[in-house]
Amino acid sequence: MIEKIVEVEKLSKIFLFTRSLKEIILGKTEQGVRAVDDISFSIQKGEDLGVVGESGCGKTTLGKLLVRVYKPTSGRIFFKERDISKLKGKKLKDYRKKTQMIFQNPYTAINPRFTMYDFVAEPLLIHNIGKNEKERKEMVFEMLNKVGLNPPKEFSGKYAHQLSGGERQRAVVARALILRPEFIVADEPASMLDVSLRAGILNLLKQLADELDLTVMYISHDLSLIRYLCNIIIVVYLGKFLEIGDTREVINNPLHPYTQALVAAVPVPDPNFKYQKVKIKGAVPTVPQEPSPGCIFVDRCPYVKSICKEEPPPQVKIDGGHIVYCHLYRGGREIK
Amino acid sequence: MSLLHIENLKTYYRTSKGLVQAVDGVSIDVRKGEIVGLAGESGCGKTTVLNSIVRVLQKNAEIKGGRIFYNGRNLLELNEKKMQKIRWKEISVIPQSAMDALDPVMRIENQFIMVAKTDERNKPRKKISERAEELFSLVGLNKSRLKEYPHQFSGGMKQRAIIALSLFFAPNMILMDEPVTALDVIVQNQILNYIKKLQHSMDISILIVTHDISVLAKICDHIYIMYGGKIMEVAGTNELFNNPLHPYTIGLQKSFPHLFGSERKLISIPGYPPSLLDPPPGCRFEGRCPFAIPECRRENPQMEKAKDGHYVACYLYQKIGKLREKAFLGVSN
Repeated sequence: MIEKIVEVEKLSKIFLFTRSLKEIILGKTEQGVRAVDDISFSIQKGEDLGVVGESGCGKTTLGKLLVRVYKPTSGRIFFKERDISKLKGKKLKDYRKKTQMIFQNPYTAINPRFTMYDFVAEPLLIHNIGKNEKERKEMVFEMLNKVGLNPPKEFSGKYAHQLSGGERQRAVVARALILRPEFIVADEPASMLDVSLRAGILNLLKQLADELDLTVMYISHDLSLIRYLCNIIIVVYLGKFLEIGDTREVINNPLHPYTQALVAAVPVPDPNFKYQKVKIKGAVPTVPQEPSPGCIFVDRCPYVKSICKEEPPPQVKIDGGHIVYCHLYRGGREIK
Repeated sequence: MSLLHIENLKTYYRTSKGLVQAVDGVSIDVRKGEIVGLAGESGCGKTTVLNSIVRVLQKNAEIKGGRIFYNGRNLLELNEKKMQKIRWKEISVIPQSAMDALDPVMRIENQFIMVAKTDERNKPRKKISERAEELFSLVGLNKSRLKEYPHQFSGGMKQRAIIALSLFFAPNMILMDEPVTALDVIVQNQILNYIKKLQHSMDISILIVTHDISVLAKICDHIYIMYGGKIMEVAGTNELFNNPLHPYTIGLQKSFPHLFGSERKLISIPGYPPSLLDPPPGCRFEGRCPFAIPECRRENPQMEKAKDGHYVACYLYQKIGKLREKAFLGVSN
């Protein structure tokens, strides 16, 4: 049986702006950025899910909501059929044992005064795992070994500044995995690393996910990287999902105009590659918009119709789990 | 003839621990109207090469040797005052994270005026504004936005504004340091197309420095691969991608995921670049090279001509085809 590990229902996160005293007195309504806007999806056990989008599209916020760094404004998150969206205190702490996040920047994720041993062992202390120092030491050494920081004995005494970027990111991975979580959110796990080291971290994550039976949600702006790592891809734009589907299917046959543009814009390491024309213009709007009744992509869409401004796009299921949120596909794939 | 011809450039940094040989005998040619790419990882000295050309180096840097010919003149022999006349007017620079290079408390228009006045103190304001408006429309920005501050611009717009600024005196050459690195793919694509257009319409020569070889594949005519302060391989873009000869070039290519190509496993190059404080006498890539032979450790390989326009600094380039098949299979990490 396929087990749903995470299920999200109408999840939203709105970051409110602070109003000035004058605005409060005048009764101005609160406004905010809709970073994650009314989305629903589920992740199956063992699935590698990739969330792709440009900067400011809400992909990191989504990740932080799932590991409950942020509290949702509305909507619910189920982890193994248990609602975790409103957990507090001890229960929240217990939940965090099962889910961990790998952060983007290994240069700022490590406390410079911690040795690698302290850094990797800290989660064990927080959750009171391991009977004594000796047992914890064994666990830390085993994990350092797993992420390729060999020999562990030598690395455990080192500080962050003594490590290279690649080694730091390995330490960050070790810390995230030491609690043996079931679900991991990896936020741009390789973007801060040099090209020749990137592949090392990506392959390590892939291999550990298999070995430890992990479910991983990758967050990245890089479509080629998502293609390499994930079997399911979600395209996000301004807090909304635009397209979901099997990674190869979405990349080879993108349906949403935005996905088509993304795919066409990615540079390919091949000078003879024939690029498709990118039809959309401009950049992601940075000014938060009033929630509009229509499609979120309406301002940049080259195929915009009047209905797009009036009604939210329908969820259109194509085939094999390929889903697109767009008026153009109302009657299925053919109509455009 | 080359517009820019760098010959055996050596730029070292003085540090408390000794001399860092950041650029050690680099030769680069850029012909008129050509886009040339200089690729390498962080710390390989690629930015130092750019800064040496226009001589905007840090205080502790020193150009120890070599010659930089621009239009037949050796720039290294010019004094600071004459150099001043070259910067902006002949060669302009788009620095790394150019988006932060604009003054945040100054309207964009005033930044144009500042640039204009480096040439002529009393240049009439109106003329400057006209030129600025012309350039803004050239890079696809609305001229009314000249009155705005940088924070009102998005990343891609700032990048365009910087490009407009660098074109003020219609230079023959632009040096770009990671021009699209911090941008989103769609904006990145717009800027790259724009750079390509510049080359065609204004016959400008461009030297681009970046770590991203897929960006270079898209727009460059020639590519130089740099590692540990030295050039490892030079070739035309097609030739370099179809027939790479240096193990480092091959490794770089294999570490990039391709959006459509075969789904092979990515290769990472084990190890780290050597310290340039006291670099090994042999090939700088020797410590990470899967094919290294004892000779590589003893003496640094010289640049050799493999084919017309294809040069490589490696003892093994003739055998690389066979080695390549064998070695990169099964190497993981």
